[in-house]
Amino acid sequence: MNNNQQNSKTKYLILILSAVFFLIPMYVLLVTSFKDFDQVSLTTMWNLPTTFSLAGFTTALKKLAPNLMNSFYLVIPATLLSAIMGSLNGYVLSHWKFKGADTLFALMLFGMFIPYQSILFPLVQFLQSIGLYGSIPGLILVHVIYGLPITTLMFRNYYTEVPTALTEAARVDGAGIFSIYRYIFLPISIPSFVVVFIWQFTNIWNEFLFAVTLTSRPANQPITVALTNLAGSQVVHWNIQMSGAIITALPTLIVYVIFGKYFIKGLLSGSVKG
Amino acid sequence: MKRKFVPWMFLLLPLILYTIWVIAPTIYTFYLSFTEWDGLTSPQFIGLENYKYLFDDPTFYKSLINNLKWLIIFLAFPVVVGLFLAMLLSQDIKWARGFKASIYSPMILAPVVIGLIWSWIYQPQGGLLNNTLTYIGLKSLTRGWLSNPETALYAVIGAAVWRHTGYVMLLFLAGLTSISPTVIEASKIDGASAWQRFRFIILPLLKPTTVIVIVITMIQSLRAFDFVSMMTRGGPFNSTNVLAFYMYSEAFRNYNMGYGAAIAVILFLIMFVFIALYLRQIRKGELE
Repeated sequence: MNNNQQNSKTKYLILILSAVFFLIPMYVLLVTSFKDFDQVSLTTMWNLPTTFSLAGFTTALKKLAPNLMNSFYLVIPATLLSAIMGSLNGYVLSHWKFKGADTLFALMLFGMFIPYQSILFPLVQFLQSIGLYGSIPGLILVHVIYGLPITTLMFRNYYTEVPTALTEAARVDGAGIFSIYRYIFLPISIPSFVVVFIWQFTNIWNEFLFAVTLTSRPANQPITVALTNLAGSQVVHWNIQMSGAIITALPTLIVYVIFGKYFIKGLLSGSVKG
Repeated sequence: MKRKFVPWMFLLLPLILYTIWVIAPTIYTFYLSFTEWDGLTSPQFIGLENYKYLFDDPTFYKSLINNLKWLIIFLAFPVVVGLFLAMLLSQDIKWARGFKASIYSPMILAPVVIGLIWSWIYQPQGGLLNNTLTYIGLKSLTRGWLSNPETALYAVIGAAVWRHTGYVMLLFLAGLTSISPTVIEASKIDGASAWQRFRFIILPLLKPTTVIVIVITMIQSLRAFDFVSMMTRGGPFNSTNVLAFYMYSEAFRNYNMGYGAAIAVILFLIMFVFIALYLRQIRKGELE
């Protein structure tokens, strides 16, 4: 029994240390952003701020506010659209056998792993030719399309759990492809929509490469790009930068805190095999 | 007859969008790699010139080797540690959800945010790392982690590893939950030790998950761009340059679009091997 207790204690110790290790940077982030500039110095790294100061925040917020809004304008439509399309695609690919279905699916998965750098210039050109280069709508379009593979995958994995007998019976009853979706699949899709929303929200919000190459003027840029610009300035005001980082991270953090339970449950049940 | 058409029609819109925006650009990039183009004037076809230059380019090899180092470290640490943590958390543990959430939490932060945090941790004067080392008496180990060509790459990879581990852990956890507990129970009754259980039952049953984890980890390591861009911009002296960043800097900073495209093609071909592996594994999983 003693051995087991020892074992147990070690396990918890390892887990606690690991959790702390993964959370330390966040602690540092929080603590630094609430400091005044003169407090952010060599020796007081660990310390909690002596005076609670919002100076870093207010400056960061002033600089980043338009970009924060840009990110919202980008992420919400893009998430909604890619989720809906992914649901439809996943539905068709999981329950309708037709010639080329598998090749199609393979093709889609392939798109998930293309290094974005590889298609960057053609993308820039296409966007320019339809007049959407450098704007948020252009970014939305890009993210919807490049989100298709992963959302399709997630929904497809989820829908394969639905027995084909169900769709067969509905077909026999005369239901068409869309009504089967509408009346059978859509109602049960809430958990997978939650997972897909959170995944897409987080990934599109955090995305950097498309954001930095496909938008030109600072006024149009999402917050991830604005943060790098903030960090690149000459005098390094760490409390401002850290505040900026928190503002950038806050929406995804909030989403994670509120919906995290469903999200992790969904991930673990195999919605994401990748 | 009608039934064969209808699914295709359903998929028609996304299919068209996908072809225009994903397939076509990929083909176009391949074409561009055979040209010389500054982005303004029209592309000049130059055949294999870009590739010939590539094979003699020291920066290309440097970036390639850096990618390789990244790959190896990514396979060693996040995969091993992630599996270890998953094994721990798959047992009966109090606050398991809290642990899982904490360990996964870095994944929800934007890589640029993480790059910023770790840049700060790595600050030579007053950064968390150096401060801690000094505090525990190892002042001799302190250095400029990101400014020293010897350590810069590992410092950047460290930040990426920190982020990626939680994700690997979750993937393994998902795989572990699919192992039927009766098999484990039976092996316990048969007197197998924990290590034997792990080595001969769990590990083999985890193979599909392990393949997925390895493939994803490799693909992630090849895509590394955000961290390099935020923390070091490829420096110092190209010690942190990786193919994904080199390609970007050639194309968008130096306006060598054709050459950048050639690098992109190489990167893509390397990735393709892993993508094919991933697809094969998914198909195998589905057939079972």
